Amino acid sequence: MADNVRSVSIGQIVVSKSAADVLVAYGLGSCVAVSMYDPQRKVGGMLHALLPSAANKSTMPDNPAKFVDLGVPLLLDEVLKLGASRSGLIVRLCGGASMLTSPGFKNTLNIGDRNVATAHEVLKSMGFSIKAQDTGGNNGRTAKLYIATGEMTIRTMGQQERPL
Amino acid sequence: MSTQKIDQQAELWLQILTSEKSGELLGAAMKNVADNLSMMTGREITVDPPVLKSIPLSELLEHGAESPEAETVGIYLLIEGDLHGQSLLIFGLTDALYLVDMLMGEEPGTTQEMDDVAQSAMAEIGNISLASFLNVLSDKTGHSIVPSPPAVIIDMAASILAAVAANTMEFAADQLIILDTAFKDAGRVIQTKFWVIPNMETNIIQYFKTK
Repeated sequence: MADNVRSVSIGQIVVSKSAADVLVAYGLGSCVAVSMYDPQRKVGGMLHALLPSAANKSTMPDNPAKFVDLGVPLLLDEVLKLGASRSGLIVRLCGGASMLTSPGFKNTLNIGDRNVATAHEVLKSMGFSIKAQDTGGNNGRTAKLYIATGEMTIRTMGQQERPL
Repeated sequence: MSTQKIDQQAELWLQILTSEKSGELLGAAMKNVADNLSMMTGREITVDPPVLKSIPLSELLEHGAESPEAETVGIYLLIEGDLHGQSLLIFGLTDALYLVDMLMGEEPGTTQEMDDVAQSAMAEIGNISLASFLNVLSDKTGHSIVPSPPAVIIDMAASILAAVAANTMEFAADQLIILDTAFKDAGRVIQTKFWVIPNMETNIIQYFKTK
């Protein structure tokens, strides 16, 4: 069956139970992608988040999926709606690189690290353990989740796709 | 940062980007960039008239690159002093290598990879570009506005753009306000985007009339 690529852009959640689908978050820099996959029911989803949490928490932001702390619970809701079972879910995490590094350049925002830390916290508070992750470093990553098999792969610039 | 300080910055950005004199001011600033880059490269560099845009996050990638995984060289600098913002020059990898050859006086095709020397040359391009731009703003407004040291990033387009968006989005809603222009050399061999991105509190964005 030919792959049907479904791009997961910044601030998006994409879920699927179609075996032809491949969910792809291209060029994760400081962003993180969280994936959830139910191998029994072959239902999966991916969140592509930009920031750890919304600065102003008094109102719900227009796009909560842009934020790790709001997006992860929404990802869970979406995969459950599609028929996944919570107890069967495999959770994986990628991204959170420090992109803006250079001698003499001080970037104190550390968004990549904070995205990863927040993902860990949120997933732990929801009772999930992370089966596999590829995070940190200084390189962008493209992350793919193959719905047919639940396989997840990572690619960095100039390198081949490799399993996570 | 105090509310008063933020308002002062927003006022200064508004003055620079949306007042009656903006066209003249930004035109002069971009001309200075083009002149200095021309001197540095020994080529005739032209600059498109800068356009103020309000870009939704969802469209950021298509404004910045042809494809999300395109090998891209980004030169990223912060704008510091009386004004806070970011600046990004975006080159395709092939164009960046060609530019390095021009700077070094080498035959095109000589530089095959962005090694330390090549990255240093790109950093200098970033420095000259933003400093040339900010110097005119400084002179005309009487404020101290300076560039930070540059960061040269060589990676997939999407990851560079997302990193910039993240820094901006800490302040703003789902829009980036971007002053967008492009530099070309006379032979149209090199095309680079030059973005100036004000740091904006969400409630300030509404004051920007954009195309």
